[in-house]
Amino acid sequence: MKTVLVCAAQAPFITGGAEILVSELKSNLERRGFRADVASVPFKWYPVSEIVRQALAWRLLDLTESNGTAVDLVIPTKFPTFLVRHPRKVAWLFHQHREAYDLFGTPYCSFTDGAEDRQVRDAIKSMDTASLSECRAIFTISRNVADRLRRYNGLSGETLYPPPHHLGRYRCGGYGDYLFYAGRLDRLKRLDLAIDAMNRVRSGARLKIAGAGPLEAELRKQIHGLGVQDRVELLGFVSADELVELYAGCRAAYYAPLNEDYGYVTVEAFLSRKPVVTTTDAGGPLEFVTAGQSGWVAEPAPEAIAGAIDDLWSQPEARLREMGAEGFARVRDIGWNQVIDRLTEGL
Amino acid sequence: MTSEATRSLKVNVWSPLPPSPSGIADYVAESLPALARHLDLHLVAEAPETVAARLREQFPVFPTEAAPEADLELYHLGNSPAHAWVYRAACARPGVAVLHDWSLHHLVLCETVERGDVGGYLREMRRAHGETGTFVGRQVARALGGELLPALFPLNDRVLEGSLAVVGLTDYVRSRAARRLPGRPVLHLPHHLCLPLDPPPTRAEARRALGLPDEWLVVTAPGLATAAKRLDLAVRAAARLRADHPRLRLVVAGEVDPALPLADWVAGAGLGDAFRSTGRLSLEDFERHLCAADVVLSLRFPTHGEMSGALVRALGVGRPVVVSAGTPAADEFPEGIVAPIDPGPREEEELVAVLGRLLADARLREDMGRLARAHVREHHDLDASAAGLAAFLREAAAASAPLRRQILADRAAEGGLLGYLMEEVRWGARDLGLSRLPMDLDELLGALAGRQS
Repeated sequence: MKTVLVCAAQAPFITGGAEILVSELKSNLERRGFRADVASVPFKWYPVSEIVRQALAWRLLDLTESNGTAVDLVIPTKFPTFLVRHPRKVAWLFHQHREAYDLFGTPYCSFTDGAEDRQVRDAIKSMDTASLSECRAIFTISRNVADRLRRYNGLSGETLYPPPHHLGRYRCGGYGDYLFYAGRLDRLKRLDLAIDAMNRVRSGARLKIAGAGPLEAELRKQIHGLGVQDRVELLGFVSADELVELYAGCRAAYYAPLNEDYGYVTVEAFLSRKPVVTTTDAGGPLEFVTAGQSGWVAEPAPEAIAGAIDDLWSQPEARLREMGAEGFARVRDIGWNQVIDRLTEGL
Repeated sequence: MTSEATRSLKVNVWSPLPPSPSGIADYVAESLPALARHLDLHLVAEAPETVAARLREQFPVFPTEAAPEADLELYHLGNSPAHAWVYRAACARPGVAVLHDWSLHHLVLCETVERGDVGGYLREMRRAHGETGTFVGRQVARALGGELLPALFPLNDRVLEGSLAVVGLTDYVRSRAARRLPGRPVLHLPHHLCLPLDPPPTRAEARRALGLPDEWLVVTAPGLATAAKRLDLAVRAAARLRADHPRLRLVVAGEVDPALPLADWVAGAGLGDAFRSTGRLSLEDFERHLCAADVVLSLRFPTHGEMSGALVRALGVGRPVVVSAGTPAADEFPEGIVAPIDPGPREEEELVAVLGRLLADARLREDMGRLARAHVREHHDLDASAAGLAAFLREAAAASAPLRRQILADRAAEGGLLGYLMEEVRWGARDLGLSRLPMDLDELLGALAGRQS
């Protein structure tokens, strides 16, 4: 039995999409007959001055064996796990440390342009390039992540989309009277744009937001401030069953983060045969959504998003069904078997 | 002691030299004739043509860029910009560092922040003190560090790591250097006593020469007056003591830091004509002022681990000296030789009490002075100091080859990404007291920094 170690960087007490994906990767490796485990080292990405030292912990580890048993393959996932040394290292890149790359210079970045932070950015870029170059193969969870890798590090990565968490359970239960978002409530998801747009829609559209996160109070305040409580509902954390039902009953999904790595919402909506409203700068979702065929791609401005939502609400159910089918065709082949096959190729 | 074998050790001495106003320049100049009896000395100076003629007549003096080949480089380092060129040389070429101050923080600040290179300063703070260094460095770079933070973060790692051996003039320096550099030669070399007038003049002779009335009770604070010398406190204490001692006079025997509001303190305390400031003095007049004093004040806080040359001279001429407790000035001398006061919240009260006691008791002053003079003459002898240093340098030179190779290898990566990564990891080990732990970092991190295997 071949042994595979999945390398995870985790912030203790926080469970997000990456942690769930790591856990599912392990389960699916085991399902396919590998002896799999997860090597996880906590990662704290602030203050900026400490990032490099935190990252180097991975370089000092020896993961070639465990208790006398050879580790046949390591699969690093995100920064800084790919700094690990191993003769057979195959990366499945969720994302790099984006603040040092595409988020630099945006309000979502804590790096300054000072000499200290510049040194850290340069070091991250050099370490990423060098350590990812050591990999036998680099896979990425989206074309967007692969594009960044090419642009900033000059490295090629092959896209290997991860299946969503409830694969096999998504269904369509009609086209209801609400737009749906599910996910963490943080700034990069830009739900403030959606709420602002809901203040401008003329069609009587409603938005249901499922999930929790650091921006919850701020969003609630915005909803009350704009007086759109009748149109926007914060559902908080929902169970897996509720989530599947909410997708099944919605008219369409809303997903407009800033340059998202991948974005499960799009894939989950399409697997539920629902169109998606997104924006031109959303990143990962744009790999799936085709404007006018499987959804709407608006400019990232409240007025433009409101226009897209009004257009969505004006469509007959038959048209929504067609768009949903178009989306479904785009994601139907995403599954764990091809992911495991590619990651363990030649093992 | 002189022999051909010992004389053949060629030593380049890097230091500011007279007429530089640095006290270290005087110290080095005093030691050279005695040291030259054991070693073949070449002096290296930033501007050889400005070095005092008497030294140029006795020793060959070379500019930094033309320092001759030598068996050993000897670097005299103090915490002031006057030593910047010595610091640069010590960082570039391994040698023996004589640390006159444990902290080199002000020197590094002058070399970086005051030249507009805040980034360079922050890198040094991080390299030496890790995450805390980054945090504190940001405050100090914005002039928010006060006097204490630079003393607590000595920024001497680069020099220590690059040294074949370290000499400290106090046990404060020796013990810290030994802890920081386990296994490397470290010497405690008590500050030598050198008196230009020896035997020294009596109190009466000195006062006559200086024009100080015999009936005055003179409290003298010798040396460059800086914020660390606690003169605000001395002024207030002197003002309070005048009620009981109307003949008391406070004399600052030396230059005054222009940034120090000494005149305001004197006016504020109403000390008026009971205060005198001499300005810069010749070494002879400086000694006369020590001899003319009834009590000498050698307060200093915070300490940078230094030993005051003025303090050693004051003790050497047999004067009772009040010093700051918890500093080398108090720790280097047995009880009864100096009178320490705690630089805490009751510092002024203690100073008034101790000074009052000394001023009121001539016999006590004489007893303390006699003990001080005997102690310093026995333990701070210039010739013995030079012989001890020469022997230490010979041992250091004999054992230097592998250490020199190691230091140069460690430095190879400095300045680049690999050096930065190595420091990030090494600091964790250093924090645990494992600074020399071999971790094969070059192999571990080389590839990350783009080095081909």
